[in-house]
Amino acid sequence: MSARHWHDSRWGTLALGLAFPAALALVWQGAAAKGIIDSSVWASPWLVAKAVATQVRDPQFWSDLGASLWRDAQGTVLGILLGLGAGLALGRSALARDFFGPTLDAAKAVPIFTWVPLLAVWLGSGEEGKIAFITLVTALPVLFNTAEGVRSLEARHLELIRLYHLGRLTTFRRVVLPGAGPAILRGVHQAVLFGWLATIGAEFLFEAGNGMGTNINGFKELYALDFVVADMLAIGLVGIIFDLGFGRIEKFLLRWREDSSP
Amino acid sequence: MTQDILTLNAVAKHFAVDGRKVEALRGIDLALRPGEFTALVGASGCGKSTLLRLIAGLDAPDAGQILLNGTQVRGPSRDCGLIFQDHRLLPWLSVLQNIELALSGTTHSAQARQKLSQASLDLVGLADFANAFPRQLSGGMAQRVALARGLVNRPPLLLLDEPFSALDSLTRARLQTELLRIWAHEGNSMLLVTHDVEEAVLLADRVIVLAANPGRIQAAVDITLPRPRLRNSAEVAALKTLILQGLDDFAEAA
Ligand SMILES: Nc1ncnc2c1ncn2[C@@H]1O[C@H](COP(=O)(O)OP(=O)(O)OP(=O)(O)O)[C@@H](O)[C@H]1O
Ligand SMILES: [Mg+2]
Repeated sequence: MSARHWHDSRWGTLALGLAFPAALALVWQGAAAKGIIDSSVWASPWLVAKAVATQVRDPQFWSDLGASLWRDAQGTVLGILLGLGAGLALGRSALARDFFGPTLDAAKAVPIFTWVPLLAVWLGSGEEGKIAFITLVTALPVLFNTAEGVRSLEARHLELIRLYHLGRLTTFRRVVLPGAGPAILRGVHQAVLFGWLATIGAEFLFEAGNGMGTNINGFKELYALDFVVADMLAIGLVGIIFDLGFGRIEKFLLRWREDSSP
Repeated sequence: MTQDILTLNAVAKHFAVDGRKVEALRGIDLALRPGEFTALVGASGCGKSTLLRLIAGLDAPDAGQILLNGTQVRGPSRDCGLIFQDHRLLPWLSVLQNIELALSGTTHSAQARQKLSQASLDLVGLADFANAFPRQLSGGMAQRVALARGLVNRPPLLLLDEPFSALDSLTRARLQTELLRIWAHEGNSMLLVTHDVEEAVLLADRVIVLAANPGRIQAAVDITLPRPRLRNSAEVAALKTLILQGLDDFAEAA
């Protein structure tokens, strides 16, 4: 017999998860009201809520959010495609692995942000530099996971390629791609999350343009910390939506290996 | 005189297991006539699966020669199908897609492939499971899908590695009859590995007994009983005893 708790239900879990931030906001609000903390430095939840209400009516906010999302989409799609191609080649070919592997492993040890100055010099710190940075950040997890997934395909499954004389396309579509699917999707999932982080990061690190990073920076200069926090919440929400949305896609694509669901 | 569909001359294969040399097969001579149904019996580990893998071209022998239709086997051929001992279904493909894989690269249209695959699936009694994934099947069901995949492209020589081992006796009897029907209809050659001597006697024209360590042919028994053969007839029982005795004698001598 398995014990069921009230927090096993979906809503129960959600309520439990929200309890902590809600309590935190309450304490915070109380402390700000009593003057224990300086609410111009520590934006109180109430001020943040008002800032959120203002932002959602501000066309500038939406245009910055849109700019960030579009930048993210371009860089991430490019990064995923590059990572996938390179990962498949690296996983399938021992020669490519021996040739590029050590360099890539060494590159892994270099913190990704150190690329920013180089990219800025090579591509300029405008749109190209930013997108290139997002591409780099997203390509790497896809590359490593894909290569690993292809490498770990089982010999007993690969044997079917020979037995049935599968052509290149069928081999790819029916064996290699789906067989490495779980690892590839793991990499793509990381890429989707990292891509969004890299987008905001790029907007901070490269020359100002538009986007959420720039939007935040503008409020920071004005010491409007309530608006800074409101932007943070919006960015976080986008991240959560990406995470949950991709989780669903992943679950659908990997339904073949799921334990029988109710 | 018709040419043998399969000829093995002094075929040998060994493996290194844990630093030891294991002679999986030594001096195997065998000839299969077109349309012949041959059964291969022998104790576990005597090299039956190894032999099928060599014939299918998945592995190469260390010595000797394997000829399929008179030409040396250098790799898998479309003329020779293999049903693995484990079901070997790809877990990420649906049952139907798994079967269609065996038709890949043939001249059939996509529609025809689907139709043939579905028909093959109907044959093993799993018509309703076309869209299921392998994990949703029982062991016996997966084995039947593997059988359907092995049969779908109708190879002139079909190698079957214990294809009924995970089935209940009723399903097994039904599929044995079905296999005989297909064989009679196609006129192809079958090489069936089984650990069930009764199955061998019921189905085959010839039963080959393999001995272990090193794996070699110990005896070959022709079964000339007319078909359909009755499971509990005296003739079947007598042949069964004869073959089992052969296996026993050897076990004692070893
Ligand atoms: N890939 C391999 N590597 C090392 N040894 C192997 C390999 N395949 C088979 N062998 C060895 O060869 C021998 C014969 O194995 P094989 O699988 O052909 O037996 P089998 O007759 O099919 O047995 P069973 O009835 O249990 O399936 C065994 O001793 C096994 O250890
Ligand atoms: Mg075996």
